[in-house]
Amino acid sequence: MKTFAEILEQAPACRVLIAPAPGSNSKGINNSWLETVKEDLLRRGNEVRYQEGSGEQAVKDACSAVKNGQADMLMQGDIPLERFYALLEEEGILEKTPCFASLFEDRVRNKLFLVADTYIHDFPGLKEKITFVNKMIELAGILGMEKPKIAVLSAIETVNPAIPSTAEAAVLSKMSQRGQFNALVEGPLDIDALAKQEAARLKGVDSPVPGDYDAILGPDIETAHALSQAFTFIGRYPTAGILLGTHKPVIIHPGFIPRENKAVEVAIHALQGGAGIG
Amino acid sequence: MKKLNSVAEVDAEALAKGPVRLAILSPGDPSFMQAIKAAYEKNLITPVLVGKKELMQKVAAEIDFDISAFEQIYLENPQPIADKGAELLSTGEVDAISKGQMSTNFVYRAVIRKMKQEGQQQMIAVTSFWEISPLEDFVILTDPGVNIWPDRDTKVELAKKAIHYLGLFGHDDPRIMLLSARREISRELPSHTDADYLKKVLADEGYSCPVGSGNFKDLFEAEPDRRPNILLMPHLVTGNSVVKLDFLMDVKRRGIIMTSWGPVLIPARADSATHLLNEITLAVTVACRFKEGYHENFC
Repeated sequence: MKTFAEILEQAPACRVLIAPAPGSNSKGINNSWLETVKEDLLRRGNEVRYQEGSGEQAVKDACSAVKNGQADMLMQGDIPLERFYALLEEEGILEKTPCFASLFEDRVRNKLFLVADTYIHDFPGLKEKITFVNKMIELAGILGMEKPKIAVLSAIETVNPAIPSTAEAAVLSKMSQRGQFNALVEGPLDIDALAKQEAARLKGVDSPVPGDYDAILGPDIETAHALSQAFTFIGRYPTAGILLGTHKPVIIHPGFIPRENKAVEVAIHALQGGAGIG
Repeated sequence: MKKLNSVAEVDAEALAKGPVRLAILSPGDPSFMQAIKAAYEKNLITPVLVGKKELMQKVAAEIDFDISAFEQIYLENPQPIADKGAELLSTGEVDAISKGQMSTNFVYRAVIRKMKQEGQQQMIAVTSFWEISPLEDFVILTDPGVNIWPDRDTKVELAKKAIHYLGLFGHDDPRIMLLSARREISRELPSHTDADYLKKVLADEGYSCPVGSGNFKDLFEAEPDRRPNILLMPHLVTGNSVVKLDFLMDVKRRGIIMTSWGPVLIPARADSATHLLNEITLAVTVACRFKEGYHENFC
């Protein structure tokens, strides 16, 4: 798949449960926006309903409903994200190491690509990054990318012990060489080596990943979050966001992800067939 | 001082005010030498070439560039070459220096050593002039190149350098944003919590300006007269990744290290000849304004 339109075309219809319903949050998020999302999903043939009840109890009930198969996926409704996320943890919806992938439509390279982790972990170490790579591979597979090319970003393309993300990237790259991932993982790469094959060659990096990456693993939240926002706001790439590492599909609404592609987020989970991704 | 608002205005002033004497440290690549040649032909610079005699002459010959009329200083090894560059700049024999084909570390070391010899206490940092196409004004982005993990006191110094650098372009209305990944589920990152400290310390030292944390969404959504014009990076990896987004997006980047003697250029190895020429052009404007009496802020 190369575009959001293709994702929407190929995804089956699914049952989406939104919790809580608009009007539950005394601070009042933009309820008309949720209504618009619901209408759009209905128009596309999905079954969409609000969880009965209000507030945090509605979220808890919705978690149970999704767990026992009464709905295919849960969508954050009228509740602040920090509370919704805490409830997901309490209700056992999250796996041990979830992460968040920003998905972009790259109209120059005519392909989709991911950036992770752009939301959950502040400063992940190697253990978490190995998990992220595996989750990115699973998401890439859903999008039709066989053996995705994953670029591991840092400040330089060589290992410098003063910059731990360079060493972690090198380990991931070596693990890939030794067949520990079903992906081609290359790093460390700085942003210019990541972006352009020619720049990578100038720096002595001989790899098919630069310029043709399917996914970017960020060194930490400051960089990955900034990079994701840069693609959205500076590069103006169409953007969606996917929560990975959940037992059941969940759609959240972080403030940095534009809201116009919620149907794409639903469609990706629908392609997975009701199980959480990662 | 005339206010400059864009890369185009900076470039126009360079063409009007050049040439300046620019020492090039270890010119050893045809593409790099092509930028030197173009800058010379545009009357932006009078080159002073420092490095290996055979290499600089071979590379110049490759691109049909007659360098016989320029001062040439022959040295073999990178550290002495960088040291010579710092000496030329500190004594005023040149107005600016540029790294050629050598590791950036040699240049950093040379500049820091020379500063210490002169009793200067300040740190060095890269300040990048950054123009994002949909926004009307440029921003100063720091530090994408030197300080790996700046603590809050280092961030104060980085902010002051950026304020002075902004002033060099005639802007006396700094608005500082600490780029931060603060978000709904993690609100206490240092990139956010340091903002209050910076605001207080800067105010105590007489720098009265808005200071806060934010992200690119905030930058784009801000009213133009309130939009931050200084972006303070949380650490070097973020800074380095963000500043070179011109490799992927419509951004204009011109990086520089400001010293108390003048500008130091540290082009990235992957930069094209066109980009190098652009950085030299910025250095010409900065060097000229610096000589016009603005240097005291960098001492």
